[in-house]
Amino acid sequence: VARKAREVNDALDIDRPEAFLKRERLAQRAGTVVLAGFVAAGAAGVFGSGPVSEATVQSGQATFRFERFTRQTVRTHLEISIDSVSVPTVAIRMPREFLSGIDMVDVRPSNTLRRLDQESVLFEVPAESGKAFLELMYEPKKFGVLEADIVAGDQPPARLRQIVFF
Amino acid sequence: MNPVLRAAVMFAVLWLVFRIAGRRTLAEITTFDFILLLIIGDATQQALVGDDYSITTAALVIVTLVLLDVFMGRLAITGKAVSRMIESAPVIVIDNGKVLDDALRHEGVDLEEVMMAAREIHGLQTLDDIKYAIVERHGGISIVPTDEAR
Repeated sequence: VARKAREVNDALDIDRPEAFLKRERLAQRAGTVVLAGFVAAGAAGVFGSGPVSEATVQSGQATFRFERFTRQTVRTHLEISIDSVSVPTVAIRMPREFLSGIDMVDVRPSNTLRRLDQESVLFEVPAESGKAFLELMYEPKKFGVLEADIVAGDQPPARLRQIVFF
Repeated sequence: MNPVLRAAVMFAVLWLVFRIAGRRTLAEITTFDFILLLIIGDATQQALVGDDYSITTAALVIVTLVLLDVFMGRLAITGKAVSRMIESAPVIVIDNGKVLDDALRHEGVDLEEVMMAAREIHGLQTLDDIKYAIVERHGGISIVPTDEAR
């Protein structure tokens, strides 16, 4: 009976596509599971702004904190902190390609100097009590993968990798 | 993203979500459903136009959505299989006076709702007065009374 896609009731002229309805119910159940998974992933931060999204990369004395997942045109941040600094300013170098893929909203501390060269942008961050801290607030311009090798002072380069959703 | 593409993606997302959620989701709107509808509309609007509030974008989005809806409507009349895929099929929940519990459960309908439809449409008083009850494609409940109850 289930295999008969179309059965017409003698009294009521209506299709009874039992096989189709069975498939539809299965698909709806599977779809509900997928939607629930989507919501759970969103709550966890797979699409940004959540515990799964927060990433920390350690490179020598430098610590990079950023969101692993973010969304296009939504504000996100990159925090770079460097410990045991013995110089008055720390130079943090970022490729220009990375900066061309974002809209910079704010740079903290505000007295950070910026210098441009052929391939990179140099942020000169003042150090206080042996620590330096730089925070960039920006909005990714395009969806895809946003990558950059960032060098903080004389520390080894750290790779920033963000998945940008649309 | 291009507004036409945004509109097409949002149309597909909304269609898929409501197809999965089932036809009864917003068939009869309660106060809460109404609020939910407003919130969905607001969230959709932001995804559709982003921060572009130009008349051109609004026109593009509206025309795209209407054309997609017309296209889906046309597609639905090309054949039964496609029609079922797009709009599902009517489901009988009371068959010749017999309550089909499985069908009721699958459609997310309880007997109270069926009785409400029976009272509203035909002024029927008891379950015995119903010959057929059908959950239609649009999510509404149709009632066919027994010969005695007519």
